[in-house]
Amino acid sequence: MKKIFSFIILSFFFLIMGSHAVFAGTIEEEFKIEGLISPASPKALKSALEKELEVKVIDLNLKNTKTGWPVLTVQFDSGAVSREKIENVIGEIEDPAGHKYKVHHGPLLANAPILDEEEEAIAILGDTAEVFPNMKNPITDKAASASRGGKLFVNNCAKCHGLSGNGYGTVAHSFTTWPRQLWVWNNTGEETDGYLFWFITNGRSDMPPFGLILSENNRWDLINYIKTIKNPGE
Amino acid sequence: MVIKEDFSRRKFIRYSVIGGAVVPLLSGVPYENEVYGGVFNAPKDLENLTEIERIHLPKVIMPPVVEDGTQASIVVSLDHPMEEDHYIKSIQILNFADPVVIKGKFYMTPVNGEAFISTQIRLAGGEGTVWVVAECNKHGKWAANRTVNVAAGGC
Amino acid sequence: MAKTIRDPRIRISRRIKKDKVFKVKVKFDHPSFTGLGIVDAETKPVFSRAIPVSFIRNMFVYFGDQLVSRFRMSSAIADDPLFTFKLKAIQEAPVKVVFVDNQGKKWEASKKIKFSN
Repeated sequence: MKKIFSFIILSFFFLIMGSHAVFAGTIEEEFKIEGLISPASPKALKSALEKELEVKVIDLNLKNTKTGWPVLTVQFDSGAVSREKIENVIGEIEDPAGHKYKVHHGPLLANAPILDEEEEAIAILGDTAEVFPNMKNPITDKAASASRGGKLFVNNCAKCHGLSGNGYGTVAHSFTTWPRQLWVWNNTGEETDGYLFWFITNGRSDMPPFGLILSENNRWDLINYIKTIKNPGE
Repeated sequence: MVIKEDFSRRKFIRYSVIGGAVVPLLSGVPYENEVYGGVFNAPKDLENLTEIERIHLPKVIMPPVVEDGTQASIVVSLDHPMEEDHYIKSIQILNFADPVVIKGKFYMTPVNGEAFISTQIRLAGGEGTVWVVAECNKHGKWAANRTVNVAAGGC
Repeated sequence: MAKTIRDPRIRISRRIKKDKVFKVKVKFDHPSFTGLGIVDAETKPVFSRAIPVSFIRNMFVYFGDQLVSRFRMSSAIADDPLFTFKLKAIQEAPVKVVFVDNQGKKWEASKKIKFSN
């Protein structure tokens, strides 16, 4: 009986120790941050957080994130600090401009769905369907063209479509419609050339008409680049 | 010293704003290419507009110097008929240099009587080009632009 | 930035003649911000996201029962905008404006048009 009792006690002890070994330890967590508005903001956030808690700031990704929100990556000992504690401390840190930071929890698509009344009105006064001409991509050296297009993409498209082309650029939340995920065009054939060229040239709904500022060759370079964008999840 | 500088700057902006209302209203920046993807029309000779060009070219009134980029006033109008079979369908305002390129698109009908819109937009700081595209139901899209300098960015 | 949202107000001249064009002014006190900041100006895109966005996404203009204009907008329209547009006095009927913001909230205002002698 004594032996059985000792066995249970020991098992319980090892179970506790074991679970601690599994659940505690150095981990990394990501936080979407609201309130970073000036070049002084990142330093203010990092230094205050590291001063308040036993944590190490690994990275602050401002522009190339999955959601468009800046992402702070923090390393900490989960036995000593919790995610909730870090979130609370972030909420208490003041930006040099006077406001406090906040961990963002909003939905990915921030804007409300279109109301029925809007839907009816848009059907009467909105962009109408277009016929897309068949066009032949005149550029033969696709690799060099895509390389030029990549630079154009960063300057013109990434703010809405995201640097990865995932449709969640930093400015994506400023419109009624959400920018498209561009990897749908990955490796598509010449049948999509006319459509893409028309769309980039004319724009539609919240997409601007880049035919006003980009030359035809520039637009083909962009198309050649867009066709190389892959879904990072694949 | 500071007051003096501020005074002269204000004076300059005030005169610029007044001047902005009377400066020529035609395009200031050339198009990147000549065909505009076969979509956007523009006058061939700004000094000698044909009748078709005259009625379709958007007139854009903006001060050349915008002091506050959060409240940049813009007025767009066209000398175009607004008749059942010939009217301006929409006027779009954009600035490609800004983070939010499209400011707005204003859809119209013949009941508007005149193709006219006045509003206020946000512009980023520095020099930029505001584009206006007007779409006629018969004669396609026509573009014009204005170069503006924004003293304090508003994006 | 506007602290509060006020219902839209319409201003129209009292001297309106049949079939003549008249001006409509609509003022709507609604906060508008792009929610962007410049944290790192060295790499493009220059702006990064700072706070949730707020803007008026649509303004519909009805003259009587007919939808006569639609203003589709982004966060780059100014705070508390004043819109001016024109209408042709084809009938004695109310002019109604309907605003919808990016949160899906709706406001409206209307004013009856009567011809002057």
